[in-house]
Amino acid sequence: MDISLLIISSIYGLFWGAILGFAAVGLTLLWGVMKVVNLAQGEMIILGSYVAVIIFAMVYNPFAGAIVALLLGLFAGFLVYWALLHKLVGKVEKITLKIEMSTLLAMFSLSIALMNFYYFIFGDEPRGFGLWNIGISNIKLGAMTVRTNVLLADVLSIVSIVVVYLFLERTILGKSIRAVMQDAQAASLVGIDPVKIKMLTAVLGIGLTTFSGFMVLLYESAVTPDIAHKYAPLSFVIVVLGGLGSVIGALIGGLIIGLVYGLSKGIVTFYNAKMSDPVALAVVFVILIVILLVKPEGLFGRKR
Amino acid sequence: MKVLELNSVETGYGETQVLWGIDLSVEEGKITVLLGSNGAGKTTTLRVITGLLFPWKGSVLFKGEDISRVPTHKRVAMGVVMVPEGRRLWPELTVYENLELGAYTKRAREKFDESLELVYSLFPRLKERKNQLAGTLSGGEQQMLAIGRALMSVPSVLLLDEPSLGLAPKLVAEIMNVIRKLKEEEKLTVLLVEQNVHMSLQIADYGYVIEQGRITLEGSRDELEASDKIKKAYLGM
Ligand SMILES: Nc1ncnc2c1ncn2[C@@H]1O[C@H](COP(=O)(O)OP(=O)(O)OP(=O)(O)O)[C@@H](O)[C@H]1O
Ligand SMILES: [Mg+2]
Repeated sequence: MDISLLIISSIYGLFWGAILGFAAVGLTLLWGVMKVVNLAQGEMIILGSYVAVIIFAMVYNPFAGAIVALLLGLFAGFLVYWALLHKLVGKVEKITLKIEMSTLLAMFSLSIALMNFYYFIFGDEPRGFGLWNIGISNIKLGAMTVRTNVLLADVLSIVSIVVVYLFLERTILGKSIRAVMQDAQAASLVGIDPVKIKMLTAVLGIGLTTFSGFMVLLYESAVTPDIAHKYAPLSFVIVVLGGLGSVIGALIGGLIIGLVYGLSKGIVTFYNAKMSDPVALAVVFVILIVILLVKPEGLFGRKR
Repeated sequence: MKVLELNSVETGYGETQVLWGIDLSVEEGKITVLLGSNGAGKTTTLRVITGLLFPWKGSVLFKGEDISRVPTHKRVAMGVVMVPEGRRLWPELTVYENLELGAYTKRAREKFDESLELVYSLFPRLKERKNQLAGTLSGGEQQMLAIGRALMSVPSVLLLDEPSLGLAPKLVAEIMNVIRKLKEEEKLTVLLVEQNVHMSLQIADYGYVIEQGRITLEGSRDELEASDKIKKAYLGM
């Protein structure tokens, strides 16, 4: 086995991991703050991808698509909060199992509706930016060739994560979100309106998820409904790994998953190239199970 | 002037009625205590005052204005501030961040520096530990932080739910001293809920006894101390 090949496939894995990590940020916020498990995670990611594709076809500028994807996602978060979530989690202090099941069901219905909508409008034909890239399509890094679109997606993902992290750590609004996450009633006792904070979290969480669809599209080159089924489970693994509500946990979780995926893929390719993808994915989920058994609160989560 | 006034307040949880017509008022600049044993309805009374629970019947007045249906966070902005039972700090935020969020409302933010200075002068320990996570503080320090956080909200009336619970006698005396100091030096109005009758009567101006959701006795500190009921039931005399 060639060591340098393993190193290269690990690095490719890390490139993917940062994007995966950002795609999971919205999920971890919704889950951590509102205890809402977003079963429409994958569909919301590709909502951003499809929006970017449509806008791109209209103005031939992918960045316009990225901005529209973000804005539409924020608006979708607003709608989802008031249409589905407010009645279930808006005013309650303690999320019971029953409420959790109701939100699960609501988000699951949304995911099915969105998925059918995508098939109806786009079918399973891949859609993308065609041959668009930022000047040159590839960059040589030593022995590796990296697509500039992937580098762009990575830079945007990491910058976005840092911005979200600083927002949560440094601003009063960010601190209020963390306070509501830890004890919503105590938050109301200092004058914070928990409903406002929950709505803001839904807006932010779903907006960021949809925005990540742009990075996913840059990475995957094209979007099909199937992409949702690939990214949603990985997002869940990352959130569990990084700890509910932890943004930095999501980034590190994403990098770990990307690394494990890349490394396993590198090793399996050596024996059987055709099996490399499914085996690498299987390894990722074995890791999830091990984490759930050994450290159920995640690497950066707190014990409950 | 009456800062708070409860008129025949009845409420409860789900189907279960807990309060059966509470009449109570809190005078400006005074320390009023609400005494009662476990399950008497003390916390429930404070929950109605803060809006965590709405009255089924009767009304809650703040400075003469009916606030019965005003949500909790708006009452805080008006000046109704509570140190809840069990402290309810945000364990994963630092001491400083807990205090910072205490001054969340616009009115409180304008007095941020003054309030912080007051809190640090009352509890120098909090200043030393300002970058520590609240969850890692000792029980006594957590109670200090809970009071500090409430002071950051610039209360017109401060409600305290059993601040002595789980603290060593020396710390209880320290906390009671701080409450007395707040009244004397900061002219703060206080409603103190306690089971520690002996300690709380020392600093009280006026008091109520609540039993099974009803006020069964009220009077000035001296009247309460002289009453047979208090002597027998709470002071073990
Ligand atoms: N969330 C709730 N749901 C149902 N019943 C409750 C709830 N909270 C309190 N109760 C009931 O209401 C009654 C009064 O409770 P409350 O907490 O007001 O008592 P308390 O005087 O504060 O007691 P303690 O000194 O133990 O804190 C009790 O019988 C209690 O079981
Ligand atoms: Mg109580």
